[in-house]
Amino acid sequence: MEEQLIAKKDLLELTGISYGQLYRWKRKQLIPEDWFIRKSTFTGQETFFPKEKILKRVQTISEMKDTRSLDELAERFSPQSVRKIILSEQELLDRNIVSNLTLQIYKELVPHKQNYPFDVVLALFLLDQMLKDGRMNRTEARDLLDVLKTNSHKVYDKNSRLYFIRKMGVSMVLLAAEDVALYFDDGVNVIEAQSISSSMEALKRLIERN
Amino acid sequence: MIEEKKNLSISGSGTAPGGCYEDVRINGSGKIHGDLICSSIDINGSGRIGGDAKAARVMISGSGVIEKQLIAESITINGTCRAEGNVSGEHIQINGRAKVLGSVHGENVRAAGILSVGGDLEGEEIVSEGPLTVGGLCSAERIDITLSGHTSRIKEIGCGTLTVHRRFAPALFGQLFNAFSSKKLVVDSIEGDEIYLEDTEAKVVRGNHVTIGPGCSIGRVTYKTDYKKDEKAVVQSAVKE
Repeated sequence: MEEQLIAKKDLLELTGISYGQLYRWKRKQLIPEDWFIRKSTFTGQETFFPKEKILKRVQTISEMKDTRSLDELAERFSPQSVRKIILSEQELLDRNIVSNLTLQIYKELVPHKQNYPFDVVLALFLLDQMLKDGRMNRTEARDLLDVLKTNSHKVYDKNSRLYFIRKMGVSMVLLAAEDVALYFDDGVNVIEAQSISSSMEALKRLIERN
Repeated sequence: MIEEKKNLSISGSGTAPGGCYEDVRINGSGKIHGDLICSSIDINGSGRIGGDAKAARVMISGSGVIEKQLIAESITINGTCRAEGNVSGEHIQINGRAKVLGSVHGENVRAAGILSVGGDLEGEEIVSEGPLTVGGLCSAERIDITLSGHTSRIKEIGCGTLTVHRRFAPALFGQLFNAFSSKKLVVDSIEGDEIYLEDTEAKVVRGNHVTIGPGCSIGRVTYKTDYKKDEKAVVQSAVKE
């Protein structure tokens, strides 16, 4: 999966931030170390960034830096910060994160649940999307919830991807902790290959918007 | 039950196990096995900590070796110190010689002596008056480097304001002295908002306001707002972008 890159000087020009700001944000860990990609060019070594991610991040920081301190922002961007998020059933439905149907499926599996920690919310969020698109049916939902509920917290800070595949009518859910290439035989149908980190960001935005 | 923390003091020669202490003091030659968590560490002779060291205040006046990380609010090194892991602290003052194999993260880093960092050197403010070696990125809001003694080598600098200047030397004595020592800074790339350089060799300088002072030898300068060059400096190309 080749991401589009942006050179540091183009980034500064495009966003209007200065070198000082960029390095300050890096020091405060607002921009992850592995977004700094070094490449050789004809003018010597230059630094590149994954374009989409960095532009979104810079925009978010610029919008919020006047109202919050950089340390607060750093905590927010840290992949582990989501662990503090716990939502109630009512909140899940009110904020349109999960449809009632999806929630019912989950409740059949785990009854008597009042609060939903982020692991579960993320699993439900992903499930909801797939059920809505009709790519997954109700019995398969169980597999998805199982794998996500037990493993998703281990892959928050990695570039992980969720695969949902089907062969001859038999479905399978698997979670790859790194963004690696997977090769299947011809009979396998990859129905979904969803990046966990982008779903997390989408979910975080959805939670915060309200 | 609240356990009262004990002081640990080694006078003469001895070893002690690591653990939690109040004040730790080594006056002769001492070795601490394992990790150490305490409120203060004073090393006056020669001390070795065989693990991580975490303290509010660390003062090394003799010679100290930390085999893993050093984390403290304030770190003062008057003698020599070698840390084999990362070092982090709010106030880091180096008057003697310090060698860190990992990275240094500080708020306020002042080096009057020799500081050599294998990884990155990061802080809000970095002031160096002695030879400075950084194997990775040297990044701070404000970096102030006064050149003296040996050559300073930094791989990359990224900052808000960077000032590099030569030390003022008395006319006659200074010239004599200059003939024997090469006081310069060698850097691969410099990026910053405000940059003022003297006696610096760099391949690339990128900045907003860039001033290249006497004694510099720069490959390529790219600047946004303004650019000044001393007549005693060599710049191969300067581009406004």
